[in-house]
Amino acid sequence: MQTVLNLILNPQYLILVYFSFIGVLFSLIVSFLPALHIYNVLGILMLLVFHLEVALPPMHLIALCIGMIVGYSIFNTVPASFFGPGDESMSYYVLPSADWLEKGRGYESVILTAIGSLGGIVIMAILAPLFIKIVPILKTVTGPHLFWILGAVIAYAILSEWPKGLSYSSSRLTNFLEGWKYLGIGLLTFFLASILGFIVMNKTLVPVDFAFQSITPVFVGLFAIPWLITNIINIGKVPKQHIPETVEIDWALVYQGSFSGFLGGFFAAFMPIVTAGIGGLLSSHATAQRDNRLFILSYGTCKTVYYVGSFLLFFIPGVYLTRGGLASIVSPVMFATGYREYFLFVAIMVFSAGISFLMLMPFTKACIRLVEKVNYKWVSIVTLVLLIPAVFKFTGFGGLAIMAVATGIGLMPVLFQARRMNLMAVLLVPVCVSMAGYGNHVLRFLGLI
Amino acid sequence: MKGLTHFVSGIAVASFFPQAVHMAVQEKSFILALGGIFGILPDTLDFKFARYFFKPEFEVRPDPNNLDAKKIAEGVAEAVKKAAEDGKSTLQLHTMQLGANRWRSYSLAFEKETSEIVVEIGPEIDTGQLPFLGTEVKDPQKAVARVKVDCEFQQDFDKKSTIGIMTGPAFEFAKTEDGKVEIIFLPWHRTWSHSFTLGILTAFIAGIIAYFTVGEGPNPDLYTLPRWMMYPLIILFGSAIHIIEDSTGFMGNNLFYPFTKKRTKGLGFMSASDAVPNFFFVYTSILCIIFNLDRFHPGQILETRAISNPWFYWIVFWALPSVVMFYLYFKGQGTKSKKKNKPDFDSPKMEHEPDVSVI
Amino acid sequence: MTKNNKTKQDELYYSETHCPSCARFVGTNTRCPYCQADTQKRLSIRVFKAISVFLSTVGLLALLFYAQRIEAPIVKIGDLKELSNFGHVRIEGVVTYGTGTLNQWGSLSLTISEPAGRGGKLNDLRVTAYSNVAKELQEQGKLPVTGDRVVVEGQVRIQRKEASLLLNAPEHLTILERAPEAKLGVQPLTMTLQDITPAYLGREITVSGVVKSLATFNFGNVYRLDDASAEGFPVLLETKAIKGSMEKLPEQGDVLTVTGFLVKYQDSLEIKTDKPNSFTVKGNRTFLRAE
Repeated sequence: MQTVLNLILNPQYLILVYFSFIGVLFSLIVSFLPALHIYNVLGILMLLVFHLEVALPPMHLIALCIGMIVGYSIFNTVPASFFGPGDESMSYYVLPSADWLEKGRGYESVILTAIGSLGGIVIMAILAPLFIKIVPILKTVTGPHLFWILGAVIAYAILSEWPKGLSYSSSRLTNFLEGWKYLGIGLLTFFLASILGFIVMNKTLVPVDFAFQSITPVFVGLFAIPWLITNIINIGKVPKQHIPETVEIDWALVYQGSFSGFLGGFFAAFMPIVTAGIGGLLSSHATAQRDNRLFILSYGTCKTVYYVGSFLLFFIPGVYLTRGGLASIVSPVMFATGYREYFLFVAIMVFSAGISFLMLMPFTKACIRLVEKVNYKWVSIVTLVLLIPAVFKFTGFGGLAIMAVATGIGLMPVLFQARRMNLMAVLLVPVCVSMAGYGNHVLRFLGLI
Repeated sequence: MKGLTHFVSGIAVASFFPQAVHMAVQEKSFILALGGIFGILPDTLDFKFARYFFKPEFEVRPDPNNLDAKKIAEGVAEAVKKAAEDGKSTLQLHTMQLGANRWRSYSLAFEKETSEIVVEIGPEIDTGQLPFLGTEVKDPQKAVARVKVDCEFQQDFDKKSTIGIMTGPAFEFAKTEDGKVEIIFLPWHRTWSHSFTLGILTAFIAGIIAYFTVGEGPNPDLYTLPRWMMYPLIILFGSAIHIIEDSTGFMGNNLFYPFTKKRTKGLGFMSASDAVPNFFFVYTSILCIIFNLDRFHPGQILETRAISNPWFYWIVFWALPSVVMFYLYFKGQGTKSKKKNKPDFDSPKMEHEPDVSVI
Repeated sequence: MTKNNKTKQDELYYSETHCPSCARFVGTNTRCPYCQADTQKRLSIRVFKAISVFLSTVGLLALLFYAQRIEAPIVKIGDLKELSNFGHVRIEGVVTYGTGTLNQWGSLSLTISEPAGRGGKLNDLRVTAYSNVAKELQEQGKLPVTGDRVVVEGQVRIQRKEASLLLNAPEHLTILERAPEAKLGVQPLTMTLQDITPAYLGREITVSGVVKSLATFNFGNVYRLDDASAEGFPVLLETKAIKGSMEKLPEQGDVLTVTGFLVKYQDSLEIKTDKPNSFTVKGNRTFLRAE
């Protein structure tokens, strides 16, 4: 009991609470600008931290990062929901969150996602002691097989995309071409993204001093700018939003959604390169998910488990799994420590999630008020105006060139209605091929060696 | 079953070949993924190709701006009459899209007792097939129609087909020897692509290619089967597991096409779209894969295995969760016991991608 | 005014999503699936579609063309910082540890150094290559040995504040100058412990000394030979050298004569060997191992 009290009342731990709170606040600011990813911002923060390192002990930096990643995984739903309404003239499907926004239920959608995120945090906290036993076994067993597991993920992502279209024509050929048009764009996107991946992963076109973030212009181009552009040319409306007292949900849904999301998130966190989007797709297929509420909730869980879980794996004593962007960014200065630090991580994670959830509600309301007063397009325009010079500042003309090409590829699935997930080929294919030992053959074929 | 279920099962089957696991570890071979690819391939062939080969003789194209159940029912009746007279006919029903996430639904039923085709215009629904309240058709004359035909229906399962989202379903009507008209749901699905014949043929071709191209690997004396044989065997078993899994549902497969002409009846244990059975198969397959990768690791002995206590592994990680899953499944079945004999129409559902915050 | 604007936006939205001919929902289609009427989308979508196609094809080809022609920048080992993590760079230096062989996993590990510019100190960097690359290097006779002057290109990895370089293609290793020993077959230098300086880094040296202390690790034993300094001069006999030797292992007070490469370990010099017959032991405690 005394040990526990010593642990709880020790001022050296209270300062960790302070740093995690600062991290949450920081993520709140970052989340306000749509398309700005926490990894990019963290990269810039690291530029400062690497210089301030002496002043900031590792555990303080860890607490700051936990606050940021937990906060971001919960807050980033808000701009994604309110600054990009559905536009049926551009999107083949309207995302469930956009659909809810159109019905004035954007707030509910955000809260549902956040409930999913909390579910993910709770599951991770409960399973944290078990991870110490299970993750090393999984690492040992799957270690030599990661390349083909990634290959299988790629194969499934390609094979499981079904043709779209109504097949309304009497001509079979017309229907076939209609259905395959979307699949073809998906395959083309996949192919182009793979080539881009081979280029950027084997040639540093950005200054060496920013090499640790060399993938930034790729992701800004593939995801952020296309999203901002589609928001700018979007003609959808954000109707008046209703802020209810309660959210329509039952415990069965919470359990089901959190469980499904956790599976996808954990798979994404454990596997190199696999992201929450892919993990979520796999788990939603594995659990035959259909309900929109379940979809929203489980993706909340999935992305939180992915973002936070991949960082948590980095701290499992004796395992030292560098998964996810944050672990890669901080790995030069942080390294796995003992059990005490691991469980401190878990405690800070739970605290950060609680604080983030409490802050989410006023944050969402503020965003709702903002989109009622200011056209959402302006938020995207401002972000775009800030983003492009920032990429240039840190990555120079090389980064700008990568970003431009990546933007072209990133716009393809958005404007031609293919699966955006195909864009992840930018990392999946080069890493999988290199792990299997065929990377140099491809690079020689491309003339990159 | 869902595509992922077949895919993971295919990999699981492949992982039972120790030599395949050795090939993956020692030679960086993707052979285990091959099981997954051929596991999902039958559905890929159906939904990406076979459906486009199907040429319906009759098509019903309801107009959402001029809803009329009778018109739809008459269109169906025309196809049924043609089958009663000529022995066979085919029909494609189209959907009514109102928005990216909004569709007008309607249902079609073949009533055996009265020989009537019953069409009901349903509410507007979203892509998750949840109805929008207050969108039902008010005029009963337009909303429901019954058209009687001069033949009896033969149908494997009593089911009102709801035509809602994406591409509508197709039907084949075939006259039986006793003069009835058999209603075949999705005639292009689970036929040649879901036959053991195709699996054997593909494996045979792959076997010939592998025989001439795949050389001997390290330590050939360790194995009873030559290395080239791994490829056809994994292809064969990968596609076979798909057919076996699909047979647990209500809609069977045409097992030995072209030697057999009809789809078998499924065993009816579960519906292809049920969450729990799908997850059970996926989960069991993943456990098998992990177990096999561990025990078949080159040079592995029990003492050096990561899973050093197989009994513990299977009891804690498989048996106990399976009990929970079956409990949940049967509990869920109880609450919807009225919905017996659901057909397992495993067409791809409208699929959402997450928003950019998740990708 | 607001109401009018809304109506205009609604009208635009309707016209962009519905067929002008049959009034049915067409969504993203540019031709109505029901009546085949042309339902082209607004200019902004068409423009960005064109930009997308152009950038993703022509732009990608141009980027590939550019990437084929640029070379990784040559950087100094000392300039590699945390921010260089994952960068592709070229490093020019002298191999200060390279056995010319592959390790037990078939991969390659060597150390290259460059003068740090003050007090004869060296900056060194561990370079590794996975087995497939290492095997290709071996086939091409390009396995570096101690003393080679090389240029290596690879990806910088910084973990726990330690930099390393992953050599990912055999083409990325250029041997500028072979070590004199490799060219001339020069015998190891025999010297006293006191004469050893960083100038001999990478050279094969034979020394003798009394064992002052010893420490056992899973990779081998470290013996500190009396060189009049407080801690003694370290000699690492790797496990491979110990296991394959007929000699009794030296203990405190024994005289150890060893032939090995002079390498840098952390901030000090060290003699290191993995060859079984590279050491002999004399002294009160020395005797041949019993058969």
